[in-house]
Amino acid sequence: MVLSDSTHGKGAIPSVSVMDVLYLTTLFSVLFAALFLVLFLRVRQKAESCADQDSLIPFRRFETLPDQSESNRSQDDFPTL
Amino acid sequence: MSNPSASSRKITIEFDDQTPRWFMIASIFWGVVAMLVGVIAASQLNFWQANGHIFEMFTRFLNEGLGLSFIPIFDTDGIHFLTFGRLRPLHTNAAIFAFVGNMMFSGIYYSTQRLCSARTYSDLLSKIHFWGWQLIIVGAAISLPAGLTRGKEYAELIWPINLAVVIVWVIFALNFFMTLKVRRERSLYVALWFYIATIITVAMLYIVNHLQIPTSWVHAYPIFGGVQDALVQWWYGHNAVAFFLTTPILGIMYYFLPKAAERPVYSYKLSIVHFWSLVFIYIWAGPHHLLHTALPTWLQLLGMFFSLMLWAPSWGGMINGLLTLRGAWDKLRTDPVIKFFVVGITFYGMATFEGPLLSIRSVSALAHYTDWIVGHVHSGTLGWNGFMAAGMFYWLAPRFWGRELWSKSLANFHFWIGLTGILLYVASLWFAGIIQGLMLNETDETGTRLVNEFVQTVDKIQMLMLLRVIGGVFYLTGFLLLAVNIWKTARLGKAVNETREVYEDPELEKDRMVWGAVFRKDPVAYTFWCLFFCILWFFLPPGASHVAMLCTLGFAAMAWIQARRHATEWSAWYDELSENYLPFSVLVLIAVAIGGLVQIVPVVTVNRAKNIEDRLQKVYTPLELAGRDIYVSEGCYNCHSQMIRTLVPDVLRYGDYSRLGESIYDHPYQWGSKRTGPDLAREGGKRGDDWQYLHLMNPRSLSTGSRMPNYPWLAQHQTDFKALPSKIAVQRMIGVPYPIMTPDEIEQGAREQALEIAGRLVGKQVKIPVAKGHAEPTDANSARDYLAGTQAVALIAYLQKLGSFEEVAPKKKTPGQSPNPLRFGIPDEYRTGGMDVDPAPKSTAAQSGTTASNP
Repeated sequence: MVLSDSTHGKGAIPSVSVMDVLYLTTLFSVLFAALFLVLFLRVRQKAESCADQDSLIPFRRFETLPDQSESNRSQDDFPTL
Repeated sequence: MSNPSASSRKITIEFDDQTPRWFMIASIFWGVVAMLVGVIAASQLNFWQANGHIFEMFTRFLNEGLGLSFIPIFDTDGIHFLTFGRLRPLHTNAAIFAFVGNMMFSGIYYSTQRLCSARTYSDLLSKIHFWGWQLIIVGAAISLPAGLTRGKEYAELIWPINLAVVIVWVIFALNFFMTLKVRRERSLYVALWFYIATIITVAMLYIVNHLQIPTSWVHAYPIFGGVQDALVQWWYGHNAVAFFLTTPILGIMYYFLPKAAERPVYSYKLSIVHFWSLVFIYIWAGPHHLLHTALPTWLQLLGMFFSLMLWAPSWGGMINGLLTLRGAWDKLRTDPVIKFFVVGITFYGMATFEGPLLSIRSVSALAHYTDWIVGHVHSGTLGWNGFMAAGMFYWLAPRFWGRELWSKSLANFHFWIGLTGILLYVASLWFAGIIQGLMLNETDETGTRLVNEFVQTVDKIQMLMLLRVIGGVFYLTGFLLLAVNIWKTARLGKAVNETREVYEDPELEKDRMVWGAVFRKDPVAYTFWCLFFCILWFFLPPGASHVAMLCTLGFAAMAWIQARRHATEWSAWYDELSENYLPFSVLVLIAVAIGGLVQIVPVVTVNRAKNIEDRLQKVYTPLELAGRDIYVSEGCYNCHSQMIRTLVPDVLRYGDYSRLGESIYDHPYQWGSKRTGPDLAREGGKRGDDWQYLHLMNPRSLSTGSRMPNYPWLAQHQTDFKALPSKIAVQRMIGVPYPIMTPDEIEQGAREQALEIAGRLVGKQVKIPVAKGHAEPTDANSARDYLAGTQAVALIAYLQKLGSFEEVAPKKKTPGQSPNPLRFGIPDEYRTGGMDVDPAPKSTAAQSGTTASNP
């Protein structure tokens, strides 16, 4: 029996083509993952919305509730960063 | 976020901390149970006698060895509800749904109230949720050892319990979403996004994978069969890991880690990218559990592709978690909570690197069906889930009972013994898996003959399996120390509910986003068109697919340009979205639904009748169907696969590779995911009935070194012939082509086939361990009549049917006919030149070929 290591059924694609697909799939997936990681590591540098202010919600207390008006949004009330 | 305004006023609220406290206690209790069952089940892979026979060995030693004749000998060859096949589902269900489930609910109830500045919407719903969930767990703890199972991994619970799960989940969802509705914070914190994704996606997965038609109060057949069932199962199974064991724990990480480290999460922006990429990509990765199987190749590639992509968002989360500790690493020396969190997140990173690696088809060829996969799963559950749970419990206990943790030293000791346990456990299974995989694949110099018997590979990893048990015992010991620590803290303290002053602002600007502002915006529009053309690219035939690919790239480029040009507007849109829980939840639902739709719908609608690959499974006779239900009930699928992969070593060892059509009538499918014993896809006809019988009664009498337990009770328990008519009626409803038969014909046919098999067994003079209270057969006829009614005979009938199929001639294609470029279809059909076959069988019996010369 002639058996490709990765396909089955009559009319299956030749194993060479499958290897091409596998190679390209793996390559592009890894490249995509690497690019995404770079994006992740850079993304913190560009805080343009109130999103980073939302990171303080778990620390919200009445007595320390910051003034969160628009003009004050860029101020980080958390001192240890 | 809540801006104090003229209309706001201060109020004091008391949080409901009783519910998360109860869930925490329940999680610890069930965690101990799950781990204890795990240790017993792991021991059985070393000593099959750990299924109860050990009691006989022990009492015999006391009675005869030490002369303590007053101690009665506990005479048993094993206890049927303690076999590996029944305990393993109990272990996995207890670990996932009881231990992690209760832990997750504890964290969600605690943090949601704080993040919403509101008490949980309804105390009554919280109580129903808590007690309902515990009842479900008790139901599982009784039904699974009793052999009442659906035969699908992590989805074993029987249909009445499934219904209870759905009802309790809806109650939980209602309570959660109503709490979001009455919140006093404008924005939804990132932890809440992960909780939303968990609730929505688990509901979707659970309902679809549990679609079934009951045959009795404790039994049902799933509506999907064969490859459809396999795909739906792993869409569910993989995403049970994703959305039950990962997303809620990530939400917990995003709340509790910053609290413990006393600093906000490293990057909130990163958490946005992390969340959306994770929930979108995760759902597609299920087919990586079915690589090299009869699953269509396009699905296998899709599963592998998305699994590799998944590495990125997973590590995004890990990085965000670890970097949150910037400037606080000194706490690692002194604070056990931080220790547990850091190691938990590190294990998350390791497991999510290993997962994509194992999804590469060539790696899967070695690792799948071996203990490497089990090791991988446990680095996730013990390392990620278990350590995150411990960190959270140690952080919560002082707050729940208003006093310091009883012993920080004990918590530190728990950390070190637990970590040693995990490393011992995971490393030994890595080695065991790789050794077994290499041995199973090893051929002689001609490449046509296998070198090792299956049982030799089991022998080889014996020591490693023992190390695994020791690692498990270490981990369990650590968790028991946690239980003691929390217990002492609770005893010395007093249960308290936190009170907090918050702003009550009736004019708080939240949940006011109109639907048009949600969907008719650039970010959604570009995402939609990119995905739309991407899917067309995949499904359209060559030519048209290239146009779709260009459109995808075009829209992606435009999205990139627009996002940079209108960064402020895009940001403002997302800020507004995170202040509106309902539109947010709808977008989450769409993001998680796409993957399932693209993968499952074509397989359900197209492949079933068409793509059977020239073979059609023979329908089981009533007795064989009864035997199959016994196979499922005993949990044989936990150790035996029924799927010969398209790999040379698999074919050499087990016979011709499995085709799609060969399991088309299997409800549920039984392809399996682990080979502690050999594959059974072509077991039928390989050996005689007497061999099968002797092997069931005592596997070691035929296969020295086998770890399979004895099944003497199969020759004592009776087959339920009376249930067959209703079972066959349901089989017909779900598309299995049984001829119309009266209940009497069904029962009579089954009994006649049973008598034939029993007659052959009696002719071979097999030993019959009759049930207690049953008279010993006095002659051949009474022995035959007795055996014919037992489960052993029905199971043998089923085993002898495995691998039976009818050949189906492929349709001849019209010469010169090319695919219509505008017609949709499954990608394989165009890209592999896949065949059309006539679903009507043309030839009669054709038993599969086997390779008797190979071990």
